[in-house]
Amino acid sequence: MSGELVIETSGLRKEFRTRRGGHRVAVQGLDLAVPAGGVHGFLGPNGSGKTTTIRMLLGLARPTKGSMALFGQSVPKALPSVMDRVGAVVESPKFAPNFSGRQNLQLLARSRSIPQTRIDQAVETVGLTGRDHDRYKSYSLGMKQRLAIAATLLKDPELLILDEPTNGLDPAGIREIRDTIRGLGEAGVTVLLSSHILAEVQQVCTSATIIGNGRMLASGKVDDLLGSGHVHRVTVDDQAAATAALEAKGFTVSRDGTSLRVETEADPAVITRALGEAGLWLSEITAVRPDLETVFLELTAGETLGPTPGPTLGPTPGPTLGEEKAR
Amino acid sequence: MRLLLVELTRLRWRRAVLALVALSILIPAFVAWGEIHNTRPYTQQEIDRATSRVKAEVGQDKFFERNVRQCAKHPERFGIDVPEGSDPAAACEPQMLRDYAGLYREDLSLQRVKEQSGVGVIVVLAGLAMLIGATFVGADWASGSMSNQLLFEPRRLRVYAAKAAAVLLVGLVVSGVVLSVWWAVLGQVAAHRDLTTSAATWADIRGSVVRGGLLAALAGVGGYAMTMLFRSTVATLGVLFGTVVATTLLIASLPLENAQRWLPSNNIGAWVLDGIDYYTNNSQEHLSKWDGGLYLLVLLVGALVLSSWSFRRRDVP
Repeated sequence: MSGELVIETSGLRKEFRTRRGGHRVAVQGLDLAVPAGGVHGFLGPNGSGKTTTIRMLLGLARPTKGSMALFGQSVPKALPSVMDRVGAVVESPKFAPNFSGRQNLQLLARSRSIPQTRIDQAVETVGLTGRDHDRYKSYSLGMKQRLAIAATLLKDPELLILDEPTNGLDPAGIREIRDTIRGLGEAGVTVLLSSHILAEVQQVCTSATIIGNGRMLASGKVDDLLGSGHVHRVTVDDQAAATAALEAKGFTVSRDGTSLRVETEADPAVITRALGEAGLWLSEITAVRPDLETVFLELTAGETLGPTPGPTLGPTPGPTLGEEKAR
Repeated sequence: MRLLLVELTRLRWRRAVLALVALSILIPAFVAWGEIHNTRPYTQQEIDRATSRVKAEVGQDKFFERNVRQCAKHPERFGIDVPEGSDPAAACEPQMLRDYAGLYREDLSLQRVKEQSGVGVIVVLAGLAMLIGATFVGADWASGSMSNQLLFEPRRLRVYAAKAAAVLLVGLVVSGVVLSVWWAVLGQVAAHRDLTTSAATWADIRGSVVRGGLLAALAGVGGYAMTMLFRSTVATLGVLFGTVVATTLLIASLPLENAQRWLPSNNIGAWVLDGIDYYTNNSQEHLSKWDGGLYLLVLLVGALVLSSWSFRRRDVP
């Protein structure tokens, strides 16, 4: 396994026994590679195996097959030596309800001989100062999330694994957490951000992996996943003449309401030149860039586990996914 | 050591544990108070009032006079210790009057207490220690904080051992201190009442404190081990109750000559009481403390092995 990858899985598989004696496959042959640095999104519909994968990486669940590595060291065997470099929030925050937020952090810190001063720093970082002595059960969901993130910061981690960290936060809280995550990524911490909020991943992440039904569907830089925007919307008065002129130059053209959709991987200037040579003057030309939601829905269409897959919403064909795995 | 200190802190911070520790002090204290109160010597005023009340009633009672005469002839049959050179009749009449007046209160006998309420206190302490062990770790499972702890210390067997050691330590300290203080108080009261307690009885009591303390502490570890296996305090209590009832019924209904040997209650009794005698259809059998202790130890080791294996292997939610 490569030393440059912070997280690497190969052929990772997890089966659960069902009550009727059968087996349910949660993760099937997942090859995940997260490079060091930056924020890496981990996307997938509900039940696609994101949390199970994270739980296996952290030693909370045993893989049925396959291998995993953190910082190039095989886990779960090497977990004791790498765990000090990893902070994680898995699913919902889990703390003792009758202890205060600070008491919960103190117990975790003491178990790794982490100095108590780090608790103050972590509490301040997540904005819980003043409420850290309150009982955990009196916290709002947002405060619980903040406490969970504070716990991950105790170890000053090089890798932060966050499973739906903005669940339950108000818009201001979401922005704060996103800024925190972005800041950590910029500070050199590798963040694996598992989320089903596509806008969040698009805004925060530099790279992403999309999984469905426990398999990887696509992985790469977010820009690559979105594609380069090789479809343009062209608004011109004489649509018929424009279509003819563009098709004569080899473009694929289709009507889109009052505009034309023109596909080309070349510079959009060639479109304006072709129209100009035909004596047609366009009033508007826009690059149509698919958003991550479009990519996600296209990739996960037909996945039976999640409630979200549906018809393709975007106006453009799917992006070129250079690293898309054959399914 | 670091993990043990963390677990001791976690134990100390749990309110349910504190409540159970408080009960471990209050219940024996109440029992001790009951023993002291129920064996308090009669005051002369009480005796005078009672005897004067019955004197009038027994004045014409031939049976009373006959009983006093019988007692004077054979005071030992009436449980009366007549000092040498004293008149037996002088010792018997007041005793007869007290008996007729219903002044039956016994003296505080540490030997009797050891075999009766002493056993009860040990069983209560063991039950409470078991609850401490169960609720301590049951809360970790119920809140899901177990997974959080494993994110900081992924070596599961270390976590398991640290929690078990914390429960054992708390059980030993609580039961040891409570039992020692309990007997010290009773011993002081007995001495204050000029009641002598033989050295042999004190040796028995010391043995009872050691075995009782061990039983309570290990019961705590047993409760902990079962909760680590079932991952729920309620499930542990349900299984324990069901197992005790089912085992007792099963053993009682089995056509075995010596089935009672395997009853949990008999084995606990044998361990606490330095051996017990029980009766089968045809004979009287003796169960030594070592036999009873071995039986309990096998159960505990079985629970520990099973639950540590389960904790190491199973996924943690």
